[in-house]
Amino acid sequence: MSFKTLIERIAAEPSVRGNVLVSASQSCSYALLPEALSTIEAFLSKRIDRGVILDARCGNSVAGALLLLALLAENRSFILGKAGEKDQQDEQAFPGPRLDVSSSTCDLLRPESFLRITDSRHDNLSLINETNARLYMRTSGSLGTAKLAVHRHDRFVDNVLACVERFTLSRTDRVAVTVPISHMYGFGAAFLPSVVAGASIDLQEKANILRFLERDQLFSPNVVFLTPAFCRMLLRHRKSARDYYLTISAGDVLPDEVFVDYDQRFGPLVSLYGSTELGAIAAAHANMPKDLRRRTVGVPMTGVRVEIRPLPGQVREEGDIGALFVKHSSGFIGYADRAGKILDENPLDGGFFATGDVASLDGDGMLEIHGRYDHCVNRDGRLVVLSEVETLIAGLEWVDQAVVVAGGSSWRGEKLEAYCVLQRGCDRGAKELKIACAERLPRYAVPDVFHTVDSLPYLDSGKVDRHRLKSLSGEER
Amino acid sequence: MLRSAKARPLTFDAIIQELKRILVEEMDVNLKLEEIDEKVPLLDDGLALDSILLVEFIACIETNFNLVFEDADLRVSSFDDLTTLARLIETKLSS
Repeated sequence: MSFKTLIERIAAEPSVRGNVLVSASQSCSYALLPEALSTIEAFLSKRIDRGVILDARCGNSVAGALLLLALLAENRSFILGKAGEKDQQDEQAFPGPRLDVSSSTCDLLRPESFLRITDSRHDNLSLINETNARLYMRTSGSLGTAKLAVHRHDRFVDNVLACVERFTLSRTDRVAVTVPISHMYGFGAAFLPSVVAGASIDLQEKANILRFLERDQLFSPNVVFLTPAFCRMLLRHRKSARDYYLTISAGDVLPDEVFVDYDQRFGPLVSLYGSTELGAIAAAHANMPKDLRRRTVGVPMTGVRVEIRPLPGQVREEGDIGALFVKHSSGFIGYADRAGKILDENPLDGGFFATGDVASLDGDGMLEIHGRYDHCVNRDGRLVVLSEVETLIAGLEWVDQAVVVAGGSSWRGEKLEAYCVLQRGCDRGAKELKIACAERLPRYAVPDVFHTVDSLPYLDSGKVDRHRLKSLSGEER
Repeated sequence: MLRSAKARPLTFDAIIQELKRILVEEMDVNLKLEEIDEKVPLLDDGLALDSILLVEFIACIETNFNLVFEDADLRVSSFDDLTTLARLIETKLSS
């Protein structure tokens, strides 16, 4: 079934017509949805050929959501992007038409009031026909050029339907989406499944504790999509009791103490596990016993097969942890360059995708995620490659060497500590290191703590003894 | 902690100065004291405190001023800028 059919059907249901999509200053009922989407398509059709890939940039606004629904419904291919996000370098910019959406008050039936089109700078653009319509998503990969994961619309719809089923979303639900709909989690696991289910949806732009508490009073959600960091924020500062029907957390591993506290104070909490490449891979169910919901991310979604393979150098036995590989019937079809051209590289190994995570499967098929095995950490839901942070710090002219280790936890995820050997005679210190990193790195990639040392400890192999550094800081992973 | 139960109440200006000090010295904000305007927005445009810095800021305020923000205090409008925030803190300290 296509997105167009799904949206038309749900919008026509009498019991859904009064449900709404809302954001800070915009609102649209399901009754108005078909008209809103067709006016957007009429607006685009006059200006952009149907086969041209679009660069769609929006925040968590109703106008942005309507644009994305219109692009899906009309089988237009597009790159999903965040409003206001600058491309790091001009060479990385997509060379096609760009659509920017305003989140201010506007007339949702007049696309010209909220949609700005920046024409393409190049004539030689790939044209994609409607039957092969694609959705391109920037991967959360580290600080360098993000790759585009390419999804086919007709397969992506199954990914969405699997989430509706797993979370038992329905038209009686009121769903708060605190995560950006410009990424796979917010778009593919939270927003689209909620639309397909006919739920009322509150899209929270730049969600923080203040906005969440205010919106919570106004909208009164019974389902919330958030991150482990957001769970912590609510636990730390929210004083009032609240009993949500369901809270879904994704983006990072949920620490045990956070799960136990949140589940007790705010109602059932489940973890969702997925990636930009594959969409939703596994999710716990609200009806699962608390201990299973705490420890695992549930069973794989419909159409997903997982394999636990030995880590490098590991002799693995049944039930042991190992490297997680996933085969997904509605996952991506490959990576693309910035122009949308599919790259030749085959990202799959026998149809399986290497997630980079360490996991285990119990006898009931429950998946437990134990962390990464590739010197990456998750911070603010984004992947940080430690070596890239090290290279940047070591690149400062007054720094001789730099090593970054992860261990313990911080508000942003795993705690990062940088150990730096400065150039002889340098009179700068940890404070200057922090400032220099803040000026050059996104916030989530800036180490939490900086140490200046006379020298780094080494192993006999000549590699830096990272374990020793971690023990110096008093933190063990 | 800024005051004991027997100390004189903080002046409005002292609250503002303490808020600036917290931002510069205790948080991840890359600014100097004299660079912070008490009217600059704390969220979005302005200091652009993200959700994590915001909770750190709230926690630091509670610790340093020895107060607790109730849910009703945690309004976007109360955290518009340092001036509105200082008014909230002043009200809570005097109650």
